[in-house]
This record gives sequence, structure tokens and C-alpha cells, in this order.
Amino acid sequence: MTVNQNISLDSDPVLLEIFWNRLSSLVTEQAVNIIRTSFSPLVREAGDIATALFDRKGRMLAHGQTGTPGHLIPMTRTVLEFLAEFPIDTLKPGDVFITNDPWKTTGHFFDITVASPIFDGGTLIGFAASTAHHADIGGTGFGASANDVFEEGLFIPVCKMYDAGVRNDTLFRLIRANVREPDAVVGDLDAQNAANEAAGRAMRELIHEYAIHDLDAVVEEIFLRSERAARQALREVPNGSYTSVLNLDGYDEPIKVVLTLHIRDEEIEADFTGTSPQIRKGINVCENYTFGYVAFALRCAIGREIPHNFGSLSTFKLNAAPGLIVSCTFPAPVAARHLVGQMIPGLVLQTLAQAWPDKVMADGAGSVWGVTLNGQTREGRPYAAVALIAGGIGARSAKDGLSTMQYPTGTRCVPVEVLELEAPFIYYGKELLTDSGGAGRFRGGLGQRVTLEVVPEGSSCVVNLVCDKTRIGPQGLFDGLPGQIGRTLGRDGVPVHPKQRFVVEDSQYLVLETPGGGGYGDPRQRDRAAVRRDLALGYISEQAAREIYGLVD
Amino acid sequence: MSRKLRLGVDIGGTFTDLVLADVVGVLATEKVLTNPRNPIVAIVEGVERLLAQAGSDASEIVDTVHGTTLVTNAVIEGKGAKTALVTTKGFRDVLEIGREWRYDIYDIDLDPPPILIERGSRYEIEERVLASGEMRVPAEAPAIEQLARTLPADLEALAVCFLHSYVNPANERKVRDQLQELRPGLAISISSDVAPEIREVERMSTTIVNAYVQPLVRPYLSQLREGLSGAGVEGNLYVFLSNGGVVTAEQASDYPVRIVESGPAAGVTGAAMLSRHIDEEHVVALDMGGTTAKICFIDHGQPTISRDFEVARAYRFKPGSGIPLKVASVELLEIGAGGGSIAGLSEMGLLRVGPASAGANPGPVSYGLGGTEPTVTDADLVLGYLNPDYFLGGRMKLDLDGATSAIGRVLGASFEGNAVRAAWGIHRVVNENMANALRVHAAERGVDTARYALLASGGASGLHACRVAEAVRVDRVICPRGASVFSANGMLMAPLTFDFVRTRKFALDTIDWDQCRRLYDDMKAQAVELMEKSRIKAENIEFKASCDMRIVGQGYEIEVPFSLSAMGPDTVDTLSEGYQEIYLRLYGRMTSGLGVEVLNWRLTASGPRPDSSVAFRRAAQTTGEGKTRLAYFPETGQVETPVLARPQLALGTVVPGPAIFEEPDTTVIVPPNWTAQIDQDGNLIIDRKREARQS
Repeated sequence: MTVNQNISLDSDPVLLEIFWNRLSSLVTEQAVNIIRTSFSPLVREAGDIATALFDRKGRMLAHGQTGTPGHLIPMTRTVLEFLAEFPIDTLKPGDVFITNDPWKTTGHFFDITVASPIFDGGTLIGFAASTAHHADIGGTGFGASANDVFEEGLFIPVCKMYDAGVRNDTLFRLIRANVREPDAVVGDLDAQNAANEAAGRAMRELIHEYAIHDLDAVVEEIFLRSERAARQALREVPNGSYTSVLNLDGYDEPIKVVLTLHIRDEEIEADFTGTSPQIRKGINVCENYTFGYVAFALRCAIGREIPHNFGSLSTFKLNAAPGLIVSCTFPAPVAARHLVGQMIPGLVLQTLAQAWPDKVMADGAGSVWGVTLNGQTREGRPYAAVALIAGGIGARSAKDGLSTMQYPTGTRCVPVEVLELEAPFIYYGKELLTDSGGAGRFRGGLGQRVTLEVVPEGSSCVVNLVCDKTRIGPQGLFDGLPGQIGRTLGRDGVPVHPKQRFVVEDSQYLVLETPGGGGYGDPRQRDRAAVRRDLALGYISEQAAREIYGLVD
Repeated sequence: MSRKLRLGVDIGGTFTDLVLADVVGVLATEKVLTNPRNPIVAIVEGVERLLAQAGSDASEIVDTVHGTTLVTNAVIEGKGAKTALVTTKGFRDVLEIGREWRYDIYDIDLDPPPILIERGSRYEIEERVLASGEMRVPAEAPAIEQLARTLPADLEALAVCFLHSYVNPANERKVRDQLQELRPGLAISISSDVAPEIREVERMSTTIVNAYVQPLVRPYLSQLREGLSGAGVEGNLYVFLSNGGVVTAEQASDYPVRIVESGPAAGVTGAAMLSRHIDEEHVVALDMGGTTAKICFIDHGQPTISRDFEVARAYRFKPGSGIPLKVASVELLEIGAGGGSIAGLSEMGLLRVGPASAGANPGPVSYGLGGTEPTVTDADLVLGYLNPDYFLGGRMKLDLDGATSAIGRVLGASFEGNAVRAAWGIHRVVNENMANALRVHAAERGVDTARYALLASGGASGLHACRVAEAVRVDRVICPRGASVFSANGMLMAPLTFDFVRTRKFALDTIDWDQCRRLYDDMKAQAVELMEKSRIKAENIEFKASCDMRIVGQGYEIEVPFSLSAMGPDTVDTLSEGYQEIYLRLYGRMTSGLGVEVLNWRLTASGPRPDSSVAFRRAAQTTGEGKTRLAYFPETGQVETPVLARPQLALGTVVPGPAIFEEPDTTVIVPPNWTAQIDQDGNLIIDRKREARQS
């Protein structure tokens, strides 16, 4: 469609909307293509991926409408990190950058970011990038057991995957030699690169179609409007400083995350002063990942329709001194950083509740539990399977919490039948857990009990458990009770370490009970019909109905 | 003289559409108001009017094809039968736990997808089959007897879904057979019959929907038969399927879940037939109604079929918010763009249209029924595209002043008080929304929209089609005649069709062809038996085989066709090549060095295509009165634009845009840079002027 030339794109609410939508849909396309062709189980079944477009200065303009927030927002900074290493004036068409530096991208080696500059003629117009959770990266696997980052596998510093179109064969040989599934990893890197190229091509076409001569002006207008909208939304939240504390299992010793939200007119600062220091096991979080989940949670509560980009994100500030568990320093181990990082949204919303009680929800199970299995069949075929197991989400101000739902990630569980077909799992049950949801006027979502056995049949396999909130359950809000803690048990109820990595020779029986979400409001004020319904369906026990909810008849 | 007539009846939410046709083409069409409480009364009334119009006798009707929203509505409104579930011990909550996925990552207020069977009505039984098909725990008779005693006395339907029953259905069959004896009145659906493929959540919910609606569908169809019989219509009764085929009423009663998408699928079949009739190889059908627009790609006269479908979405346009169904259905992309879509400014100060809709009530401001938010219809009115005195053929008067002032109130500040410019903005943004969806959908399928023609059916399509076409580089728009009964017409063209599937995983190089041949022999035998019940001989059945293939370990399968007659070790090459070709088209790359495996084996059996035609008899030509009205186009500004009707056009007359075609049930806008002409059936063919083309 030809553009009406007497209207300039940057000030026209119609053309800008159209251009904006097109950008957004083309990055979504980019993501869809990677997901559909990925060899990594976490990408293809769980959608653990992010894609984005950047302006020519490396500032994030739009991201795909799918994937995980933990990737999306940290990626905002990745292109800037590439540019710090390779200045803009040295870039050539056909350059492709790559890194999995946890401190520069998304916080652990499994996530590899691939980015390419987009040229139109000889002019740099922007960047396309994607981050995907790969099938393997060497090291100890997807668990928390490493003592430093060197044990966690291959570190790919910021470097070129292609230089002016020439493939960096040394790099690919190095990667192949260091990962357990070289074909899958290289295949996915190629997919990321192809998707970036397609997005770049589409962006070029878009600019031609709309005959945009001054892309900078359009970009600045998008940033300006996003920032203005974000500031406007923040104005509605009462000023003040609000603090709350989150207690987590840690690895062997409990840890705490302390958050103070300073809300000043049009800005929010997330201050983690008082939080536990980093530890010697792989649940440390890099600052960029922490920032990602702070920004994600704030968007859930404030200005949900405002897209994340360089403009809107400028209203959020992070204050976390180096060396905390949420802002760890090299070479802290980080492989299972999501265990702590994905707890942050619950904490943010719990804290925000003091300022904005109606727009939040109580804390929930947070980071999704995982059982990873790596091994080989008797025929020698390698397999890698991840069973994700969700707990309950916290209750909302006017609705019960969602049961067995993954939050904050946008991932999903793999069907039992698929897991059993792909890997030596046998499931004995997958059931909702009575009384696991924190009682309240609105009840927290229920956790689940998964009973399974790993039976490698004649060959051994490695199991990694990543589970949390087994010491203190997710907290309730406004007199709502906490959700039930999680439990990890073996046969006959023998406790199993929730973050263990072990080799299975014959069989391993596991009972995994995920935590329930916290309740919202006084349980005695819960609608009686809702209490009776919960009782009839077995969501709560008779004892809870009587003693906690005060049901008399 | 007795003619062989065929009757199409499509029940929609507002209207019931009827079409009567013979082998030459359409004889008569009729539209009556749907009677939600007793739909059959309206059908009978419609049939009588139709016959009178055509001067035909009821006894001449040999086939009736019926499409209905009964199943969808029952599920959406929760008005199905009292249904329970029986599943493997330990797994009754699988249905509720689902895929643990939030369909909107930012919305903390969202509701979980609906579930039809609450926890108290989900039963478990000791049984277990492993992924290999190995029987670990057989279902034992005493346990089944115990179950029969536990099920409530007033239970009407039962869904049975056990883990891995798609590979070994023995336990499901045993439970069904024994329960059927103990509880003869119970309608039992088993998952290995209804949807025998891997992934327990989806298979379970498909089986449940089937059980849930079965006790409604069976009596409904027999009442329909009686109603028709009372009106003198005997002969075969067929029901239209979600996949574009038909089955007999008896078979529809056994597998009612397969008729969920009956109505919309009929529209697409109509579009597919028309595309064949007018020799358009690649067509994208656009059906823009009051609340949504639906899009479907049709290649070589065949609509795209999807194996995943959702019903009763909590949020209409959010995949994942509904009940997942493993049934073949025409792949329709539905987006929130319709005449009732509401326009406003976003938080970022940009013009946003939809997906919120004023629907039909209160509807657009111009309906004068209490709507206050400006909508797409209001914008179309302000632009001069709609005639305020001739909406629905003049049955409803539109309030132009109301529409103008509402647009001014909401958007005036952003458009210097110019309501016409604001209206153009609304018109353009909604077009772009449709174009965007179309583009993403095309990219997912690896096709280039520029090769397509746009077929515009449905109420508002004609107003927007050419502009959507411009935005996706399409040069031809077709506005079919009889758009208002398009679905009913489509139903008459569909052959008898059955779909079968079996899950057996093999690496491509280790396929056990003997086992596969047995799978196919079994499916074919089932097909032949079903076809013979409809008096279709085995030799007249067309079989199409395909399988779902994927790179080892990938989560998405690609359906690859192969020849059944040549099935054997040589098929490996066919499959491998077919897979590579489709994969390359979809993703633009091929990865070598990784094995390919087959997961599901499919068979589609079709009977002969009915002897029908979409052709309309040519209407008598009339003379125009030379009417015009003021309409806005950005290329020209506001201009006096000719207002025409199709019968005014002689064959071969070319009408240059801008022009407006106005008919009781539809209005078509021909913008500048486009020309319109009529074909012999009365379809409007609108082409972009050569000099305005981009490709």
C-alpha cells in the first residue's frame, strides 16, 4: 500500500499503529519459526525462547509475543554488549554475533543469544536477535549442583559466528566438541540465525513499503510514546517505599530476598538491599535476569498493554549491589538461576500489594519444578527429557489463584504420554493436592502430587531435580494463609534433596508435591458456597473447612 | 418429471439458510430466522417456502445436508448431557491440570480454560498400558462392576480415556463392553475410538466433548428426520463435518465431536467449490462479520485442514484458552475484526481498533440501539460506503449524525476534528489488522500472499476486501453471488468423508511395514463398513494416506501424504522427499544429520463428490438509475461515486473504481485503482488496475 505522502509517519496515529503492529508481528513470526523447528525440548515443547528487533543503536524496539520474560527483557541489553565489543562502524553485512555469557545475556550457559545487524543497502538500520535455551551446553547439566560457573559447561564469550558471511568454523568445532548433543545445538543455532535473517529481510521490506526515509524519527517517536505511557501508568500508583521479604530454600541453607520498591511519581526503583549474598551452588542470579523479572511483574500489575521496549523500560531502575544472590559476580555458578530468579515476580507483586492491593496477587509456587533426565537407550540413542511440574499461583484480589499453572514463565508441561515415549519415565499419578492452596477469602491455587519412577532398563541415566519452597510456603496477603510447602520424597516417604543430581542404575521412585499459592484475605470471609464447593470437590479437607474456613454446617 | 434435488440447511445463530439445487445449479435460496428453542420448526418453514419459490415438490429431494452449531453451543453454554469420565488410576486430574500454560503471560487476572467434567464426576480404575503398548495392568471385571455401581443413576454419558490407549485399546474396550451391559442406557465414548492419538490431555478432552453432546445430537437428528419427513422430504440425511466432508446422520450421532465447526467449515467448502468453478488455483477466503473475521487458505480447490482445534475459548482470540480437540477441521484463523469492532486510542495515543466489539447489541452507534463507542460500521457509514437508508435492504435505518459525532468525540483531537479522516483511519487500521493476521498465517504456512485471490464472503467483507488485498499484494478480489447463503450452498458440494488415525512411532529407516499394512487394512476395513452403510461401494471410495513426521525429538509434526497402493519399503523415499519438501517450504531450511521419525498414521476415505454445481442461473438484466453518492477515498478525497447493482451489469462491462455495489445483504466497495466486472454466474470479479500492481 502506498503511503499518503502528506502525512508523516512519526506523528500519524494510524500509520504509526500500523507500522508498530507490523514490527511486532514480524518478530512473533521469527519466534514461531524457531519454536517449530527446534531440537531443544525446552524450546519446542515449552517455548523457552525470545526474539526481538533493535534500532541501529542497539536499543530494543519490539519483541515477539511469545516466549519467556526472563529472556525478553535481559535481551534488551545484549545487543549493546555486542556493540561494546564490536563498535558500530566496524559492522559488515553478513556479520553474526553470538554469546552465552550469563552476565551479558540471560543468566546461564544454556541460553545462547544470536544477533545480526540489519543493513539496507550499505546502511545499518537495526539488529535482529534471538535467545534460545539449548538442548545441552556440556558441564553438569540443567541443575544446581555446580560449585562455580566453570563446572557448568561451555562459555561462549561475545564473538562472531559469521564474519561478513564467512562461517566461524573454529567456533562451531569448539561447540560441537563440548556439548552432548552437537547436532541439536548446531541445528538450533542455524535456526536462530535463519530466523534473524528472515526478520531482517522483513524489516527492510517494511521500510521500503512505507517509504520511510527517516527511520530514526519513527523509532524515537515509538520510544517516546512508550515511555510517556509507562510514566502515565506509574502516576496512578501511590508514592512511597514498600518492603517485603521472601524466604527460599537456598541450596543447603535458607536464603532470603529482601525487596523495597521505591515509587516516586513516574519511576520505580527495585532495591534489593538486605538480600542474602551469592552462594557456592548454581542458583545465583545475574542482575540482568533479576531486572527482567522485576520489569515483567510490574507490567503484570501496571500498564499491561504498554509494550516493553527501550522507552518504557527506562522507567524501571534496579538497585542491587554486586555479590548478592540476585546480582552475583563471576564466577558464581548460575545454571539453575531460574529457581531464585522466577521467585522475584511473586515478591514484587507481594510488595506492590501494600501500595496497590487490588491489582496484585499473593505469592505462589514461583519457579516451575523440573525433573531432567539424560541418558542413552540400550540401542545407544541419547535422550534428554524435562518434566516441568507447576505448583499453584497466588490468589487474586477477586478470584481464586490458578491451580497447577506455570508462572511467571510462559512455558507448559510435556504430556505424560510423550515423556514416557521419549524417556524411561513411568508415571503413577498426577493429582491435585488437597489443602495445598493457601486459605483465604480467595484461595490460593492448588499444587500437585506427581508420582513417578525412572527406570533406565539396562543402562544408567542422570536425573537432576530442581525444586524449591520446601521450607516455607508462598505467603498470603491481607490475612490470607500461606500455600502448603512443597515436598520431594523417595520410596516410603524418605526425603530426597530438592536440588539433587544423581545417577540412576536400576530405578528411582519419586513423589513430588509442588507448593500451593498463597491466599488473599481472611478465610473466614470466604463465600460459604465456595467453601462447600471446595469441600465437595476435594480441593480442601473437612478439617480445613471447619477449622480454617469456620464452616459450621 | 421428477428431478433429483438436493437441499442444504445451515443453522446459524441468527438465520437459518437454505439452498435448493439440482445438477445444473442453484434453484432457490431462502433465509428464515433461527428458532433457538425449536430449530426444526424454522427448517420446515424454510423448506416449504423454498419449494414454493422453486416450484418443486418435496418428493424430488433426494439428499439433505445439514450444518448446525448445536454442538458448539452446547459446549459453550454448558448445556450438554450429564457426563462422567473414567480414567487410569492416578490421572483423573490430568484434565484440570492440563498443559499448565497461561495463554496470556501478563494477565494475572485470567481464567483457566473451561472444563466440562468437574472433579467429583471423574472416576478412576486400576489399569495401565505402557508407552510400548505392553499391558502392565489389565482392567479387571470386579473393578468394572464396582465402577458401574458407583456411577450416579442419572448419568447420561461416559467418556473413557486411559493412558496410551491409542497404541493398545484393550482396556478401554473391555470397560466399555462390560459397562454397556451393566448400564445399557449409558452413551459411552472411548478415546481409542474418538481420537486415537498420543497426548493424553487433548485426547481426553476430545472424548469428553464427544460424550457430552452425544445424548443431544442423536435425538435432535432423529427429530429433524421426522420434521423433514412431515414436510414430505424423505431420502438421505447427511451432516456436515468440521473437515469439509459429510457423514450420515447415524455416523454423526456416533462421533458428534466431528461436527463442531460445521457451519464455518461449510462456508469454506463453498469458497473452495467456487474457486474450482472459476479456476482460481490459490484463494484466501475472508469472511468478515459483526464481531470477527475468519480467514482460510484454499489451494487447488482444497481448504487447509488442521488437526488441532479449540472450542469454547475463554478469550475468543487466545489460543490455549479453550477446550482442545483432536479433530480434523478446516483451518480457520479468527481475528477480532468485524463491523462491530470498537475504535479508540491506546495508552500510547495510537488508533486501536478491536478486538473489543459492540457486537449486535448495543452494536455500532449508528444502529441507534444504545451503542456509544465508534465502530468500524460507523466509520464505513461516515466514509459514505454504507447507505444509511439501505442497510439490510432498508430494514434498518442508520444514524449518520450519531456515528459522526461519536467518532469526533473519541478521536477528534487526534484528527484535527475531521471525522472523515478519523473514519478513514479506523477503516485502514481494521484492514491492516486483517492483513497482518493474514501475513503471519501465510508465513506460518510458507506461502506468498501475492499468488492468491481474495474471496470475500460475509456481511462486511465487501466493504474492506480490496483494501485488505492491497495490503497483502493481492490483485484480484471475488465477491460471490449469493454470499448470504454461501455456507448452505457449500454443504451441497461435500463428499462423504471419514478420517482415521493410529499412533505408532518408528524411525523412518526402521518402519515395520507389515505392521503398518495391518494398521491400514484395519482402517480401510472400518471405512468400507461405514461407507457401505451409506450404500457406497468399496470401489468408489477414494483413500488418501498420510503420516505425521518429525525430526527425532521435535515437538511438531508435519503431515506428509503417500500412496497407499505402493506402501512398503520404497515408501521411505517418498516420505523422506515429501517431508523435506514441506519442511523446506515451511521453514526455508533443511537440517541434515538428524533422523526423521513417523508418529501418527492417517487415512481419509471419501465417497464420490455429489453431482452438484455452485452455478447460479443468470438473473435478468435491469437498467440502472444512474444513482451516486458522496464517498471518501484517500486517492480522490470525497467524490460523487456511482452506486450500482449487479443485475445492471452486462457480461463484459468493466466498471472502473471508485464505485459502490449495493445489495440488500451486502455492499461492495470498488476503490480507485480497481475495476469490477461480472461473470456469468453473477460473481463480481474485481481486479487491480495493471499500473497499480506491485508484483
